[in-house]
Amino acid sequence: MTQSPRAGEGGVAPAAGAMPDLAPADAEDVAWIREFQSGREQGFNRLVLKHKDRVYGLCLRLLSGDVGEAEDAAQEAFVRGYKGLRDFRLEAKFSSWMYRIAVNVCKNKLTSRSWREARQSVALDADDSAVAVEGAHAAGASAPSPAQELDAKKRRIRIEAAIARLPDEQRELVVLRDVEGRSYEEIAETTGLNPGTMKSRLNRGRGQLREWLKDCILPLLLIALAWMVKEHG
Amino acid sequence: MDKHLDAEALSDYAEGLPDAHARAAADAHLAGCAQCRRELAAIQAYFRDLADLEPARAPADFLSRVRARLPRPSPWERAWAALLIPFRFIPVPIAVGVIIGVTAITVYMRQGGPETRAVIPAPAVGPVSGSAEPSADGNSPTATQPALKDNGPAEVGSVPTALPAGPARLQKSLSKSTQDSRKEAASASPQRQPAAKKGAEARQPLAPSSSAPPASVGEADANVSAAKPAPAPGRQPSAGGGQKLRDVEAQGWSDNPASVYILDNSSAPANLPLDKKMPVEEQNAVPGQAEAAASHSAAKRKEVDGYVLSLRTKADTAAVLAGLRSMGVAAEPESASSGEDRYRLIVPAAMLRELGPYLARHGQSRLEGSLPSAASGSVLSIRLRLIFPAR
Repeated sequence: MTQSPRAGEGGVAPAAGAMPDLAPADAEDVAWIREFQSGREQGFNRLVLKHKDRVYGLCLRLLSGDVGEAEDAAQEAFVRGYKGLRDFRLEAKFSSWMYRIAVNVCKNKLTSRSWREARQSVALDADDSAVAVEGAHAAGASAPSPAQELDAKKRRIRIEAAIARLPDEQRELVVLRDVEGRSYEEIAETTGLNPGTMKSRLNRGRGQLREWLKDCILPLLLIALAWMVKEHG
Repeated sequence: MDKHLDAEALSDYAEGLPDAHARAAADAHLAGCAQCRRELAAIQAYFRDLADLEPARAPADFLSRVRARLPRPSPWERAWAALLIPFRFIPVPIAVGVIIGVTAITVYMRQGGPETRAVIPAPAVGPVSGSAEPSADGNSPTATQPALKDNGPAEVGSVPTALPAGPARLQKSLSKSTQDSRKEAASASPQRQPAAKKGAEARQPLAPSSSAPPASVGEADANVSAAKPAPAPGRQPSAGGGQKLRDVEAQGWSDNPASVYILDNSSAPANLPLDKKMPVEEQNAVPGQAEAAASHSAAKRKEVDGYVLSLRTKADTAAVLAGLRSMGVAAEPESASSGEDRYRLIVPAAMLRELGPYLARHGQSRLEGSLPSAASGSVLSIRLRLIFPAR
């Protein structure tokens, strides 16, 4: 299987021990990492400010739109990153490294008993999570017109709801590849899956997602169901 | 019509994954299959939809919340981390090289490095008054060194004056006491004048490896007090105390700084070993070199009973002494009387075994007492009595 990143992405992760030609963004990360390793906390602050939205968004989608848990997971990921950054050897991209930490934190949450119990007890999953993710979107997005904005918002809610309904192992791959646009090499490094398993799970998730997105009735039913639960207990 | 493309193949096609050959085959099929084109369009729409999802935005105070959760190191941990920062960027080979270099230099200095050898060319020391306090008059040793060189040859004559350092008053005392001692020596034994001149010529400093015969130090046999160079900082000079030093530098048989000065036993109990009369370290109180001398403590001085050599005539004395010099043995006259001259031989351990046979070639020789075993590099002080028919 030939693997290539999507357009505009960094592509193959750097080989261990080598310092490949870095994109400007990565060079910026390297400079801040070295700043932090030389004892200046400002370097870490800059890294957080640059990567917080993507890490938070990843956590939000992996955790099916649970804003509180996503924020907690993203904070925990950066705390772990802070502890490991002094020994970070620049053998991988910082963003890939942080993604791996964030995915692991989210996996721990997903497999925790309390998370599963909480998830089962809440009947409204897809619709509320989709709204939550949508609400967490950047407010600066331009909308040509109110009608178009409404349509786009509905479409995004539908997609986010469908993503949140995917099984955990499929959702993780769909989010990393199709939403975040990570390369297959990065995903394999992050998830620890072999390429065959990864591709198989990803295609199953994609197929399921497309089925749900084709059928517009399901999201509407879910939204209606959620409304009823909220209103009538 | 060939087989339709499945969803995975269409996804790969939409992502641009297939190689040129597979892509050409897919293009050929898609050109003639409307169903696969519709499926491909749906997949491409899926990718667009997901790629168009806007990134979520973390709360505005996200950074402050993260920092609030960061572990707070103790002040000691922060201080330790700050100390280690400079070393974080030192390449390992450089760090290893520095450690090896520092270790090598330390070992070299401890084993007596350059300052130990620097003693050798230093300072031929003539007998000087030990009662002189080197710094009592406030003269710094370095300030008076030119005066030493100027005064030395003119007043002392054959006595080398290249003292390491010392105040002018000390040098005057040295010159005066040397002259006094020479007068005493002259009055006690007029026959020793020629030998003294020869000794003076031979007392020019020699390199340790020189094969030239060492000189006698006979002319410097006066009982004078120890001449101590400028004391090391924090170290009290030995003021007199009856200790005598004698210069045997330029003997060529030792590069040991401890051998530059040796003890004159003439005023000390005869049975007291030399090394117990004055510690070598005190004798060699050259600034900064006491430690180097201490590292050569292997050069022990041992005094044994001596040889008695019966000569046919007193004139044979000169030949015996000349031969001793050629062996690297210094002979210091101790006393002279009718029918007997007494000398103290400064014998390198390497020459100890040859001393007896050499003396036996000049006359009847016998050893009073026994010769101890001498460690390599040590120096022995041995008495020699030359007996000849009295006039």
